[in-house]
Parts: sequence; C-alpha cells; structure tokens
Amino acid sequence: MASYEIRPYRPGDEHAILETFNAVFGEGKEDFEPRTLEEWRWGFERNPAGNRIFVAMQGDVCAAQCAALPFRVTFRGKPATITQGVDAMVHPEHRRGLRRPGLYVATARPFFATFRGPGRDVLHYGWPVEPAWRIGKTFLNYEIVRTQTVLFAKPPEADQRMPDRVEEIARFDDDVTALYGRCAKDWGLSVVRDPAYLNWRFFDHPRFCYRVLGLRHPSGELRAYAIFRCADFPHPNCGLVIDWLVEPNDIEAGELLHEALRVQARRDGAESMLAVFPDWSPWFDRFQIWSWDVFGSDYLLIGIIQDPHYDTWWLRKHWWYQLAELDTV
Amino acid sequence: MGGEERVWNIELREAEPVEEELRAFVNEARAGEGLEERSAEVWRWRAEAPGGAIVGSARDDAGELRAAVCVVRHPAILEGEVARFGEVVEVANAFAKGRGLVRAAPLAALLEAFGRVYCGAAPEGMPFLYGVPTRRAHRFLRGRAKAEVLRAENVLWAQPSGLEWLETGVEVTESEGAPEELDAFFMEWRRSKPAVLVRGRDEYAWRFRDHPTRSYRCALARRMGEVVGCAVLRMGEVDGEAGGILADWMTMPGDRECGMELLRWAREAVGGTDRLFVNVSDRSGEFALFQSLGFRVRGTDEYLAFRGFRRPTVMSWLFANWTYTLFDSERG
Repeated sequence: MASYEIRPYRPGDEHAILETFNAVFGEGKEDFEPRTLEEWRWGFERNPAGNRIFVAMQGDVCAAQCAALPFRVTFRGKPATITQGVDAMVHPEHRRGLRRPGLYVATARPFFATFRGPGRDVLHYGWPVEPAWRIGKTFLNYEIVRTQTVLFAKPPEADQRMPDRVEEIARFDDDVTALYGRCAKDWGLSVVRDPAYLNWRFFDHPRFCYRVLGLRHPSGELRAYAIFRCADFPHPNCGLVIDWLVEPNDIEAGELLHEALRVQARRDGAESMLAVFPDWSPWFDRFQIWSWDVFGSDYLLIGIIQDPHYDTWWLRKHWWYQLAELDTV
Repeated sequence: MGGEERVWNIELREAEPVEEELRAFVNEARAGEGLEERSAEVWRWRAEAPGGAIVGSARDDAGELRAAVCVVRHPAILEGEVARFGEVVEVANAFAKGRGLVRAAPLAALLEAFGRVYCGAAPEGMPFLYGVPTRRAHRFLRGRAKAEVLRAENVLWAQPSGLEWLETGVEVTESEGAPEELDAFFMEWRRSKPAVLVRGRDEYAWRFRDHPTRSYRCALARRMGEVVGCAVLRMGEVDGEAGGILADWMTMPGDRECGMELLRWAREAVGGTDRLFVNVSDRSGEFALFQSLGFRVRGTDEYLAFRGFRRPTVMSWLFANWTYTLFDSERG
C-alpha cells in the first residue's frame, strides 16, 4: 500500500498543491482556467487571518489536501476565527491510495484535530455539493446548518441613472469598521468587515473585479455599501450581490443601494440578479418587498461547530453571512 | 461496561387506540422540554390513521420503560409505485437515567430495531422516515439514529387584503368532510409528483374531518364543472401570529387562476384581516406560485428531518422531488 506523509503545509508546498489543484479541478473541463501562483498566494499567504492547510505528500506530489480560509469574526461580542473549507482534493492518481475512508479523510482528521478545540476556530463551514457532504457527514461530523435559499430578480429593462448620492468606492478606510460595528450589534456571529479583510477580499483579488457602491453621511463617514459582480454562477451572466452592509433600520440607504445595484446589473449586461441573506435578516424580507423571489437551491450550508455550547439551531438564527464568505465568487 | 452493550427489551407493534403508559411516558419527556401534553384523543386518532401507526418501547431488565416511539404510516406514491412513508410523531427517552452515551442507548436501540423491522424498500418496507424534531430530538437523531436534515423549513405568508384579484373562470365551493371527487383529482394531480403522500377521501377524512382538536374547512375549485384544485384551511398560529393556515393545497402546475380563486376563498374564510400562512417545499412549483400571488417567505425554527432506507438514499433527490404541505405532518 502507498505511504504518505500527512502534515501541515510548509513553505514551498504551494507548487505541488497548485499542480494538483489544476489537475483535479480542471479534469474534463475545457473552459477551466488554471489557478495561478499569484492567486494561491493571495488566498493562503496574504489572507489577514492566515491559513489552514494539511497535505498528504508522496515525494514531491501533493496527493491530497484539506485546506480552509480563516476569517476573523465577532462571536457573541468577542473576537474569534472561523474557517471556510476550500480546495478539498485528492490527486487523480492517488484516489485508491488508502482504503475507506480514503486519503482525503486521512488528511482531514489531523487538520481538524489541530484546528478545533477551545481557543481555536469556532466554526468550520462550507457549501459542499452532495458527494462531498456525504463524506463529510460520515467521517468528519459535518452538519447541515440550513438548506440554502437564494433571492432572484430581473435587472431593469432600460438604462437608468445611478442614484445621485451613490458613489463607487476605490478602497475601504477605517470608517467601514464603525459601520460594521453598528450593523453587527445584534448578530451572534459575523466576519469582521474592516479594511484589512475587505481590501484583501475585494480590491486585492487577483482574478475577480468587484464594484463597491457606497453611500456617505454628510460628514463624509461611510453610511452603507453593497458589492456587486457579474459571474457565470449559478448560471451564465448573473449579477451577484456579493456583500451588503446597511444598518437594518436605514431603509433609505437600502433603497438607494438597491437601485444602484439594479443600474449596475443593467450596465454590466446581467440577465438576472442573485442575493443571499440569512432568513432572519430584515433585508431578506425587504428584498422580497422590492420584488425579489426566493428559490430553494441545491446548496447546503454546512458547519462543524467546535464549541459544544452552540449548535446548528443557534447558527441558523444568529450567523450573518453573505456571498462574500464563499471563495468561489 | 458501556451502555451500548446492554440488551434492552424491545417491543414493536401496531398502535392501539389507548396507549396510556406510552402516552404518560412521552408526556413526561415533553414536559422536560417545555412542550404541551399530547391528549389521549390524539393518540387514539393516530391509531386510526388509514395506514395505521406503530408504537415501540424499550425497557430495562426491571421492566421499566426507558424509551418510546410512535410512527404514523402514510400511504404514498414513490416514482409511480405504491409505498408508505413513516412520520415519526413521538420519540422519547428517559434522559434522566444514566449518564453520557448510556442515557441515549435505549432509544438508539429502539430506533435501530424499528428500522430493521419496518423500514426498507417499498412496498414491504417504509423507504423513508421523517419528522420535525425538537432541538433535543434533532441532536439525538442526527448523532445516534442516522437522521439527516432534509430542509430548513420556511413559511410563506401574506395579508389577504394585500392580494390582488382578477376575475377567472374558476368556481370554488366549500365541501363538507372529504369530497367525493378527491380520489380522481388526486390521481391526476400526482402524475407530475415523483414523491407524494396519498390524498384520497380516506386520508382527508382521517387527517381533517376526524382530527380530535382542530377544525378544518375544505374547498374544491372547478373549471367547467371539472375539479382543478383543492385547498384546506384552519385557523391557528404561526410563530405567535394568528391567521389562516393552509393545511393542504393541490393545484395543477401553472394554473395561476385556480390558485387565485382558492386564495380568494381563503381570504373570505379568514375574514379578510388576518394573515394567511402556507408551508410547501421551496423546490416546488407551488413555492413560486404563492410568491407570484403576493406571499413572502420567512424562515422558521423548524428542520424537516428524514432517514432513508432506500438504497441508494440520496438526500438531494428527496429534497427536490418530494411535494409536501402541512398535510404531510401533524403540523397541519
């Protein structure tokens, strides 16, 4: 039987990781654009919250990887970290490398043993497809937090002016942290929206370009923002509301930004628009008032909750998340 | 020695109209979770379900009751074939006895035995068990009984006065009890449904007419004299809000006019002021229909959970293909 060295990432592994990533995720896809080293470095070296990577190496080949992107969060008012599982993979030539439960699970178990527990990541989450969900459920204690609903709308049929007070933001400053603090005061768990995270996530992204639309108070301080991108996800030419940070009682700001998103979607040629909100959020209801329809999706929001005092029931009602927390968009 | 290795005295059988020992045991467990008692009438009603109900118990060596379960069998159509789905309406365990994993061992053993005896491929076995567990039961069922979440449940709601109306060629009449034309309409309606509980006269009579504590009103929609839709309504509360609850709903795909007329009837039935609520699968055509008729969606605290005994069991298949309403569970 093949033998593997299963261990945390070491500098220099990225070349083998990248090679396996492109072999695995490009398999059978003619339109696949290989991930570059720059993209890998953005995700795993320059993430302000660090990285979480375990690999199964055989010689110079990365045979399997269990990895996650960490995010700094506010968890019941205190700082903590959560992680999004990404890039789960086993090299095509090593898929029979270990008997059931297989090489991925063998790599994932020490990953979770290392990063879970008191004082470590409080939640590991993801939006897996069903086969990955089954493996995770059987061997890694994945639990469904919710079956994910999404909001859809059609962009306007004619060109419109961008609302006067909405501006495009070139980079986030410290005032976004204050805006986040005002929005997050009733949220049990949320990724910290501060310049370090937001500038890394959106302005420094090596592949995707985002439109950041903002409103300011008369004092110049940031009042609200929405982030938009057109993508071929979940279907071609879809205008995605990637992030939305508006105080729940600031309906006027919400209306202006919503109108700005529609204008931007029209300008970018989007055929539909999609947004994701926790269903307890007032914005989930408000978007429906603005004629967005709710649909059930195939996506499962899963979590491995590291703190035994909390469960999926709590997460479902207290976790603020957006598409921003999904690396692939 | 771990409690896992202990042998429990397990009994599984058809439910009797009177199950006082089990009822008392279950009510004690429910009280521990702050839930209201189940009455003797509800237990009797379950035993009279068209597909029957099964009760199970696990006792220790001294004969003391340690766990109980009650499952109502519902006739169903699964990919065109006759089947029965099991609605788990009670799971109770004496959690105060024993510690750690030992505490849950009798219920785990009971459910395992239940699965072996009653579940499996249709038509002999029940391919699916499902229910809407409490938080504590969910934690147990997920960890110890291989249950999975099928859906984080939503509710659709509308203020009837906010709905817009057009004249249609559909006529709605209220029906006493279980309407005669129901069987034939169900057979037509279910053709496009890969997984659905049977809604025939027997099932309607039991679920609605004979319900021990709730009163329902049933309406049929006709076009040119032919039945094209059916809705059942009761008054009640959803998350503390009073209103009309659509306990069942059958309209043909795309028949918006029929939906409008049935909602017009529901609006009048609730007096035009309260809210209307309905629960349907968020992958169903009805979910889109209700939104097009002015309903909005909001989350609930409920998870619809299931365990599959069909091989291969694919959660996503059931998620996408099971057409259900509140009719399918005691929530209705």
